[in-house]
Order: sequence, then structure tokens, then C-alpha cells
Amino acid sequence: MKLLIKNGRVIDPSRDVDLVCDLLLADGVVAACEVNLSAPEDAEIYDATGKWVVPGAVDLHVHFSEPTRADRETVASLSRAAAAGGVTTAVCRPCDDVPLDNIAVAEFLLSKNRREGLVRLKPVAALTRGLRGETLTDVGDLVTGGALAVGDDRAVMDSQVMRRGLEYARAFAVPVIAFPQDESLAAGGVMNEGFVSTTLGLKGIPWSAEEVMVIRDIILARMTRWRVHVSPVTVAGAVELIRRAKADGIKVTCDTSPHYFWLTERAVEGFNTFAKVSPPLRSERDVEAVKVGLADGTIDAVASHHVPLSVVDKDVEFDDAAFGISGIETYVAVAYTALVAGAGMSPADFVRLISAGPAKLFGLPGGTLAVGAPADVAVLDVKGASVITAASFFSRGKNTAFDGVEVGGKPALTVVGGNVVMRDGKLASPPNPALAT
Amino acid sequence: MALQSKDLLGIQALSEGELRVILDTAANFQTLAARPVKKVPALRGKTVANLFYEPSTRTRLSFELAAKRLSADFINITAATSSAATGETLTDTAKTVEAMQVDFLVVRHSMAGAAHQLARQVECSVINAGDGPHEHPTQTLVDLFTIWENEKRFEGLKVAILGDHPRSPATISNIYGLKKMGAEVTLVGPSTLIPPGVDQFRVRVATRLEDGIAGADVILLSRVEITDANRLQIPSLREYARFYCLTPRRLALAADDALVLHSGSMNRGVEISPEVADYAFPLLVQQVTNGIAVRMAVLYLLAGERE
Amino acid sequence: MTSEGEYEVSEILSVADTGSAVARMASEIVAENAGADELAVVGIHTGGVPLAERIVAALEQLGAKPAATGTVDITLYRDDLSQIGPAPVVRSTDITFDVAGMTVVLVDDVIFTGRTVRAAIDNLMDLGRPRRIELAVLVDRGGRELPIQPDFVGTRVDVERDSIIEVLFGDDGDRVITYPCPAGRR
Repeated sequence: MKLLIKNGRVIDPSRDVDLVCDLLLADGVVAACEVNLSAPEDAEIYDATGKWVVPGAVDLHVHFSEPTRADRETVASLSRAAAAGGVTTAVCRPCDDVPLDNIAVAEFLLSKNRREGLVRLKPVAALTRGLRGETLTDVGDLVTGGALAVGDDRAVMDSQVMRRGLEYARAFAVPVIAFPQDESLAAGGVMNEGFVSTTLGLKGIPWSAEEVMVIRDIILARMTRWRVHVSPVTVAGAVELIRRAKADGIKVTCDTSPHYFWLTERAVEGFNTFAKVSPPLRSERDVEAVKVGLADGTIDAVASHHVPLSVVDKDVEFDDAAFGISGIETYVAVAYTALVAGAGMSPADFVRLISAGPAKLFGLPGGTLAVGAPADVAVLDVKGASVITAASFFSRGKNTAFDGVEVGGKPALTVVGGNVVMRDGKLASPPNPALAT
Repeated sequence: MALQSKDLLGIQALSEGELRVILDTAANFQTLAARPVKKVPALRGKTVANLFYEPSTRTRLSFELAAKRLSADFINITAATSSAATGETLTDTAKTVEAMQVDFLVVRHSMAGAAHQLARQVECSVINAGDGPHEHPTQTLVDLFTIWENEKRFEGLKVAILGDHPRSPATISNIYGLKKMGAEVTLVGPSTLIPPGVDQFRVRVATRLEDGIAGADVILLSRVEITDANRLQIPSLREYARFYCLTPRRLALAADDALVLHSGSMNRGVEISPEVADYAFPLLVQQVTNGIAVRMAVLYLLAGERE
Repeated sequence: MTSEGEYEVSEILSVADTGSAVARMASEIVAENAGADELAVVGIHTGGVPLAERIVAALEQLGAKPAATGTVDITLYRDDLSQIGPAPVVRSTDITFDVAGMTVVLVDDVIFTGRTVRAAIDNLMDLGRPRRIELAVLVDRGGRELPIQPDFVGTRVDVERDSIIEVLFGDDGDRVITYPCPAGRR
């Protein structure tokens, strides 16, 4: 199948390209990227005038819940939401619903995706069995089975376990992903600790809960001479610790999500359960520090931190509401609006954060539009504006904190392996043959 | 003037003017208690419902009596400890309440924000009867009323608040209420019990009891006990009592005839000594009658149409 | 509260006529009750309160000082609380004497539909069981919606339903005026 994306502004930081030209996709890969390409006879043509043509987003942090809580999200609904969001590769993380701590669960995910999916799904396996933080999973087996990295969805509180996990993962050349929140400091907290939490009568999670874990994991990365990836970073002090560790040559990387550089703890006011996330939304000072970290390269990637939840998870008292924002469909547009439109970030840096950077971190083939690379492309409508409407999400999780917010950069076309999976808000039907391998 | 909102969810949203209207109206309702017929027909035909997710006998009875003395009908809706406990969403609860055609919903919950979340989803007036550590507006109104009755002023009044501040239901409401009326507030307690960011309320903080109550005109106390929630903040009751128990000798540091108000359920020997407890007891009784008058005033003022 | 210049204000009772009406009502009260020893004169907020003071003064001039005086506020007894908008300000009901066995003369400045008097009677009955209740009004403008009639009347007038009758109480004497109801005012 041939697709010619005409006249868009192609932004490909992997090749230092930022140019209005044509992009030809054929046989599942990028065939040519030049000005004024002539269309082959059998090629479909997409007019991308005025739009950006970028490598498809590689989302490092998504969750789904099949089969335990299919009401929250299935592989199929996750895939549809990803396609709508301009995401061509989604990296699934372990959680209580889907512990991803044995090879069978990973196989389930991949085979379901082959049958029902539209975009690429890759698993990250748990570091410890049952996510209990006590003993290691069969890391090697899981990596051979396709896991890109290992890491629990909560901090491994026992430092010796984390140390052994890093040492063991080094041999299989996969990074260890660290969730930076000390459970004893965070215990019982439901939002950022501070004046706002006091006025709301809600128990807080202090900023130190994150910094304590970040510095510990940096030290363990130094000790084991291996890679730790902090996901997500949200507080000013943690950004600074990572900046200094990188300068010292320690193998630490990190990502963050748009709600940590758009919203603050004030979004919780009025007991808005849609603003209840973990780690929590932070102070203005932290938001500014995260933006600086994104601009100066301290933060390597932007991910969605997609946690889809059902109505019963959020329509309850704030203390009881589940943590999470359903973000995969909107994070690219929200990040574009905050960073490019709002803070003047260069298009190349933005594309690096959502695509080239994350792909490189986990050794994925995407993130580039070089000839021969997989034809994973997103076209972003940077001139138009659209209003985020939770009710029309493809994800089963309508729990967004951005309902009603106007954004630019909404994905208009998503291509995975050369096949169009989303065009102007309409989805293709699965399966996507490009996922068969 | 009327109250701006259809609900009474907290003191934070009330203006000083609204606070005064409530207190003035309560004063008028207080005279009814001395009559043989304590009822007036003002809320005849209206229904007041209690939706209590946690028990609080004192508050529940106070609202029930207030409703009945206004000739309103009164019902108790039993609720489990939380929505999750029954598998009901807040929207389900709201729809049930609307179907019962309730005019006033009095909500008591252990979790912050419960009344606010429900108020968004129902047309009737919602009164927050205490939502965990967040606000307890009617308790504060009763405290303010009692203070006014005895001190006749708020401007420049020195008020010291003692207790397990992060868990005490009326601390935040009291701070709002007293500051709005022009009083000076000091929070007294060990550093671990001082809520984060509380200095932004422009209250004084004193970790030594002697510093905190020196010259205080009013001392507000609440029960202190040790639970799982505050085990790391209070080493032991003996330790707390040693440094913070209000004894006659310490009370002497306050102003002459200082008002000692306890919010109820005294833990004698911990936050209040038995002698001071006896001294404070008559006020506790006064608080009960004041409580009914204040709640009648709240119901009456919320019953009028919005401007 | 009148605003001159905007509406046509006409006087119903002059200062002199108001004074003699009050004096006449006082003597009627004395005649009807054979003195004032067991009488309580109670003014209905707002206009009935100053009028009650005038009547008490007139009674004293006749050598018939009432046994007790007081005021009632009928706000909590109104039958239209849910229709009139924001909750009206509650004033105090000041009855310090025991109502039981007394003859209470309720006083109001103007009687119209009769609903205010009905509310005042209910309020009084909640305080105790009076032996008798009598009603004294300065102006009866007709338009009754309930079967309630005054026992002592200063004057009867017939005006448009939508005009206002006001008793202006002043240190130099009282008078009664009327003017059309401004649009939008109840």
C-alpha cells in the first residue's frame, strides 16, 4: 500500500530535518522524503498543507486493564485511543490489574494486539513478583519475550532489592524504570501536601517523597553502573537532582506527563476527582521547574501516563477515588499547546520529546522518518484548535482533567507500518496487518 | 440579605456579612426556646433529611430538633460508611435524594469534600454537618455565637485553638470564621500537629502552650486521642498532657474570665484537666441550646429563594 | 419611605384627624373592656408598634394604663415564605408577660387581606392561651381574603387595590397618605 503525504512541514530531529516537503510511504516503510515528489499511480494521497508531519508518538507510559477490569480499558480500546492520539507505539506498564510479571501475561497482550490492535504495543515487565517489591521476576525470560524494560508501578522500597534488580537487568541490557514515590512519606496521601491540601482537609503527599526516592535510585545507578529511568518526574528538586546526576555521567534518564507541566495542585479545588493522580499535581514552582527541565534536555521524554478508569472509580468521595488521568488521546496536543504554542519550544525539541527521544531510550525502531524506517507517522493540525471532550473519547476511560480545554496540534492522521489507522478522527478497523509480525 | 449559595458547605465561602446575618437570626431563634410552644411554622411542608455516613449523635439530634421546631418534616437516610462501601456512586446517591423530594440534605461524612461533591449534583440545599478534617461550618457558627454571647465582640479578640488540628473537624472552619470576624487566632500544639502551610491563614503558631494562651480571651479545645492516623504525630497521651493539658495553673495565664469552649467528648486529663472540665461544663450546656438556634437560623435562611 | 415628585401622593388623614382617631379608639377600648387593668396592648411589627405606643399614651391620658405591652414579629408565621424570595429578616417578638388569661389588643396600622393579623394571632396562641384577643387598626382598606375584622377602627377607606397606604409616624404628629404602587414593587 502506498501513501503520499503531501506538502506538510516534515519535522524529523533524528536527521535534523525541518522542511515543507512530501513523504512517501510504501511497503510498510518510509520510501522517500523530498520536495515535490511525484505520486506513484497506486498511491493514496493525503494533503498535509499547513500541518506538521512527524514520526508517530512513542508513548512510554500507558496502562490497560484486560481482562481483570475490562470496564476500564481493553487492548482494543487502548489501541483505538492511541490511534486517535497520534501514538504509533504504546508502551504498556505493569499495574495491579495487569501485573506483567510472567511471560504468559506478556504473550496475552501481544497476541491480542495482533488480532484487535491498530498500533504497536510493547510491554514493560514488572521488576518484582506481584509488584510486591520482595523478589525479582524472571527478567531474562521476560526480556526475551519482548519486554523493553523492567520496573514496578510503585517504588521498590527495599534498597537491596532495587540494587539487585539493577545489577540483574544490566546483564540483559534493559533499563530499570523507577516510580519515584517513597511509600512511607506518601502513605494515605491523596494530593500534593501544602496549603491547598490543608484548606481542603485532604492528606498530602510531600515533595520530599519524590526526591528521597530519586536520590536513592541515582545512587544505586551509580553503584551498579546501570541505567535507571525515573517515570514520571514532577518536583523541582528531583529535576535538579537528575540534572546534576547526568552531568556527573550517571546513567539516569526520565520522563514526565503533560498534566505535570500544565496543571497544579489547585486543579483539585472543589474536590475534583479527575485531578487526583499519582504522583500528585504539584505546586506552580514545580510546574515551572519541569518546563525548564524539558527545555534544557534534563527530561528526556513526554509520556501520557495513561490510566483509564471507569465511572465508579471516580464518582465517589475524593479519598476513595482511584488515582489517574486518561491521557493517551490528548497528551500530544496538550504537550504541543503547553510547550510549543505556550512556551516557544522549537518544533524539533518537541518532536524529540514525544517521539525520537522515547524511541531511543528503549531501543525502538520508531522515532525517525529516515528512508527504510518503519512507516509510523503522525500528522498534527497545528493551525486549528479543538476542544477536548471526554464524552467522545475512544478510550473507555473518560477520566480526563482537561475536559473542555482548547488545544492545538490535534492529530489529524496516524499511520502505523504504512497503514492509516486514524484519519480526521475516524478510525480504521482492526487488525492492522503491519502488527502481524 | 440572604445567603448567596443554596448550600452551607463551609465557612470559607461565607462573607463577614453573611456570618453576621446568621448570628443575628440565631439570636432571634434563641428566644423561642424559652416559650412553652417552641415551634414556629416557618418551614412547614419542607423536608429535612439527615444523610450521616458516620455517627455523630450530638450533631444529628441538633439538626433534627432544629428542623422540627421549624415545623419541617424530618427523615433519616441511613448510609454506609462511604459510596464505595455500597458500590453506589455519588451520582446514584444524589438521584435517590432528588427522588425523595428532599428540601434540605444534612450530610455528615468522615471524608473531606463529600458534601461538596453531593451539592453539585442535587438541587436541594446541602448543609455540611462535618466532612472529616475539612470543615464543620455549623459547629463554628455555634462557637462564634457562644463567643459573641459572652464576649460581645470579635475584633481584636485573642483566641487560642488547641487539639489534634489535622483531624479536628472544626479547626479550619474556626480559623476562617474567627479571621473573618477580626479575631486574632493562635494554633497551639506540637509541631507535628500543625497543618502544612497553615501560616498562610495568617494565624500565629505556638508550640509552647504557655506562649500560645498568654492573654487569650477564648480557648477552643477539642478531643485528643491516639489512633492509627496520628500515632507518629503524638508519642503518647501522657506526653501530650504533660505539655499541653489545660490545667487551672495554665489557664491562669489566659485573660481573666477567659472563655473555655470544648467541642464535646472531653478526654479528661489529656487536653483538659478535670477541674477545668468542670469549669467549662456549663458552657457546654449553653452550646447545646445555642446549637439548635444556630441550626434553625441556617435552615431558615437557606429556605428563602436565591437572589 | 415615600418618594415625592414621582407619584401623586394624597393625604387620607391629616395630623389632626389622626390624633382624634387614635383618641377615639382609646376611649372605645376603655368602654368595651371596662377599663384596662387586664389589658395587654401588643403592636404588630412594623407599623403596629409605633401605633401601639400612641394608643397606650392615649389610654394613659384617660387614666387607663394597660397592664402590659409588647410587640410581635410575624415573619416566622407568614403563609408566603416560600414565594417571596430571600428569607426576610426576623425581628424580635417581645412578650415578657404571661399571655394566659389576658385580653390582648393587637394593634396594626393598616389591615388589608387579614393575613398579617392571622399570623399574629397564631404567634400569640403559641405563647399561651389569652382569654380574649381584640384587634385595633388605624386604617381598614377592605380587600379581606380571610374572615377577620377589627374591633376598633380609626378610619375606613376605599382605594385602588394596587395603591399603597402608609402611616407616617412623626414626632410632631402622625398622618396617613396614599399613592399608586410603583411598577415592580409588591
